[in-house]
Amino acid sequence: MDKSIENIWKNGYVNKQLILPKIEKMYDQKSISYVEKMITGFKWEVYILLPSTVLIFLFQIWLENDNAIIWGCISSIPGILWFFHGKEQLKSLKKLDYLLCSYDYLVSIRAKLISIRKYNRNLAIFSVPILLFPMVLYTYYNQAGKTIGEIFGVNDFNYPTIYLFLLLPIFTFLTAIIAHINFKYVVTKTTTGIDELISEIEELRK
Amino acid sequence: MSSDFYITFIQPYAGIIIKICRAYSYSQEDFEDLYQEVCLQVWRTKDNFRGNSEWSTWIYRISLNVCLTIQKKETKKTPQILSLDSVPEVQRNDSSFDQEDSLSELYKAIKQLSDIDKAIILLYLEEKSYKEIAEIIGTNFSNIGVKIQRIKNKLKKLLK
Repeated sequence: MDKSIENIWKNGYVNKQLILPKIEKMYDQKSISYVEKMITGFKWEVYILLPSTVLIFLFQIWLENDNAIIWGCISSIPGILWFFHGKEQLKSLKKLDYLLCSYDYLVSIRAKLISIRKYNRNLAIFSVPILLFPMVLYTYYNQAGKTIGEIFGVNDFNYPTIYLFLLLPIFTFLTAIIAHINFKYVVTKTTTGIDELISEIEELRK
Repeated sequence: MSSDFYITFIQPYAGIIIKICRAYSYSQEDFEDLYQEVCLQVWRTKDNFRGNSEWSTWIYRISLNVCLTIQKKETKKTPQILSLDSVPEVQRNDSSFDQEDSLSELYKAIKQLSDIDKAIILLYLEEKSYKEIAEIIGTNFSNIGVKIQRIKNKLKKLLK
């Protein structure tokens, strides 16, 4: 019997009915691994909040404010709350199991992710005045009679403390702009991959 | 990918894809993933086909590109350990058992070649001309004959 590689190859495939692997599940693994990557990214965003709150606390102590520890604790509270809130959001994302097909899975993950991101964007914007207001109010009464320049040690900034309340709309507006840019360019970018997969599956289904 | 596209442009050439994917995969699962990825890539790149070569040549090119790309990624992750059991199965019946066994041994030997040698010998075994092989691989036509001879000698040694 001729055992040349050409003959082994030819005879090996002669009269052989090849079984074609099924292609309908083509996107399953791809979708799952893509979403897993995204969830890992989101997890990082949540867990980074903990060291951030510690840094905020240390920053207050470094500033050597009166009652620095109390202020440190107060300013760390939002970070801690956001951390636990983020963990809940993470859980809700993980709850979306792969049940039916990759298309439904991707669509539901995308919708969930966008609703979470929008919620977080709004939360960030609305928390600014809520968090700043007690601080401004405290400073307004505590530093009564001083000018803003005297409070912050800035020469020739002789505005009355009532102007401190202007910080509320200014910071809220700035946060809104940053949150909007972040949502438009960073968050939307993370869903682009999912959008591409979804449109590819839609194209495949035509 | 419409079923029409699959039936017309992929299914008749599925044998090519299967043969190539089998040489670059180390388990049935890998093999199926590769096959699916190749089909998808053929569909994605269908508009890039200019008709300068045969459609089958295009399929060879895409299949090898996908296999080589994925192989590279996988090699970076974990080095592959080869065993005879890991050679993906294609349908087997009793009458062709001996042939299938030799084919598995041949695949096992092919898998021990470098990525490019693997591609060259697969195209040679598929009776592609030296010119076509050079075109698909993107290498110099004049070296192909010598390379094939070297690869064949290597395979013979591995099969002993």
